[in-house]
Amino acid sequence: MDFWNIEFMRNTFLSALILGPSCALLGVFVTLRGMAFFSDALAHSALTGVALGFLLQELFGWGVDPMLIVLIFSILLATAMAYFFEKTTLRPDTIISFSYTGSVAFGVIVLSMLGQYRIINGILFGSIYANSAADLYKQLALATVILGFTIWKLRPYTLAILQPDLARIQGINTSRLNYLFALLIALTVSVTLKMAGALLLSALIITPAAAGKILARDFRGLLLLSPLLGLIAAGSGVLISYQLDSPTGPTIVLTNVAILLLCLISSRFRKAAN
Amino acid sequence: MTSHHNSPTELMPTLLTLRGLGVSYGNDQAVQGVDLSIHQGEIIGLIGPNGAGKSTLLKAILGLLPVSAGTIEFKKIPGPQEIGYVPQRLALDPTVPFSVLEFLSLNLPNQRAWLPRKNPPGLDLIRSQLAAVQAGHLIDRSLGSLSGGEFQRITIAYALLRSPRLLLLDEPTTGIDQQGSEILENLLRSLRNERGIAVLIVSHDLHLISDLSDRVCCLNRHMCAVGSPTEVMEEHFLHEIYGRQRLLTSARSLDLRKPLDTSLKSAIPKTRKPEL
Repeated sequence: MDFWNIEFMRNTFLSALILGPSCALLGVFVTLRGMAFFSDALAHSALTGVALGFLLQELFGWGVDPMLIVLIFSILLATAMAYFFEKTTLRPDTIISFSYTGSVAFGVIVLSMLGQYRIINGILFGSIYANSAADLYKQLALATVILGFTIWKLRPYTLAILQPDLARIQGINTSRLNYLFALLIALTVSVTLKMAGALLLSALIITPAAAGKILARDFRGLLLLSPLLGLIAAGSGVLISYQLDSPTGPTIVLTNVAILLLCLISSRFRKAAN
Repeated sequence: MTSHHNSPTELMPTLLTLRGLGVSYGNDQAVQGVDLSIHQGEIIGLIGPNGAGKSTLLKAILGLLPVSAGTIEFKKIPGPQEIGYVPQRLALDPTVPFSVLEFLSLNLPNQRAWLPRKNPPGLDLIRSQLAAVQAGHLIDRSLGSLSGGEFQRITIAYALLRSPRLLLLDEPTTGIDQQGSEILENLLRSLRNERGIAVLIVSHDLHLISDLSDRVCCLNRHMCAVGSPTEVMEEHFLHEIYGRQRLLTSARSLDLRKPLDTSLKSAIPKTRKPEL
């Protein structure tokens, strides 16, 4: 395995093994709650977070970790959208659409005014070369947080998704859980950005969970299968991109989609066989 | 306001007492002046037109909505005293794989961490409650594949896991065929007879309510009349409450010739106009 001797390839492969299953596990709940578009929008507007990082650097000379700025901006945007959901009569998808397109437009303008237009490509599609050992630790921390949240809040959150009233009568604060969950998506976006890019990263969240849903017969199966498929897709995506010399983020996404299509076809055959 | 005669459960201890209960959403007074007591082992039908505040009343009893006036008193009884809630439907997309066993295991008492398992610690309890609602064979089915009637029985089994003293059912017969409705009726009777569970059931199915209920509470936002099914479900009265044409012209079991009970007449405010 040649690529194991190349540091950034090794780091990228390890990243894929950490982020693939973590994003997929998060994705189970994102898809159950119908928040795919929400997570996609948060991912896209990570571009604005990066732009704001450059702006702070330019204006005040603050060299803040872009991941942190992306995280803070994602949280602010998620909070703003939640506020609009509550206070206006506009449909959630409408609110999400104008919130993220507006913030991306703002980000692009800021980047171009700062003369950083050329880095947009890397933000949109991810750049694996920047994957350092420190990034791996952040990704491991994210994986721990997602797994911890899942185990700690699995019962209340599942109940809140199934029937919010059944959760509330047991004293479960469903709106706080929803907010915690939106924070978790924002955190995932900021940590996964480098790997898959703003345009594509939500595929890592949504696709394996969708494939898992097709194969699984119960919730237990869904919770086990989705991270497994996410792991396989991300790991093999990195290997394929090394072999084909193709961009890593998009290759992982395509591998995910290929697995999803295979699951769809196999479920067709299974139904036909029955 | 309460009027009930010779109710079989009249001598049973009172479980829940609502006194002058009011619930409002901001400035909108959704429910006002509800006086109702529910005795152990009593089945009470809650009827009223759409928007009358029936579901609001259930949610207030469950503690999901703040009370703006009056009181709700749930009698403390040693042992389990939960109120079981049977919602009309789940918010979950029916194509999501979620088994009946997994759903029920969510409500097992005394569990710290929950993981969906093939063999959860309270499996015997789940099996016995499923058997009680004649749904033992559904344990491995997915929630999305259940018929309306089967789903309703599963949600009752879910509530039974916590040994409730009172079951609240929100329009359980919506979208359920006649057979399913009869199974539900027998099931609620046997829960009352065998376990002494009281039932408060919201329904638009007036036949079901008149067959099943010991007493009926008719709610219309600013008024509440309580009495035996024959008293409350008198045609003229229902006509007045629901505002329009008859509802029980094909009544199976209602005695429509009986005049409106005087005590009930006095329960209807003279100046009220039905708000529909």
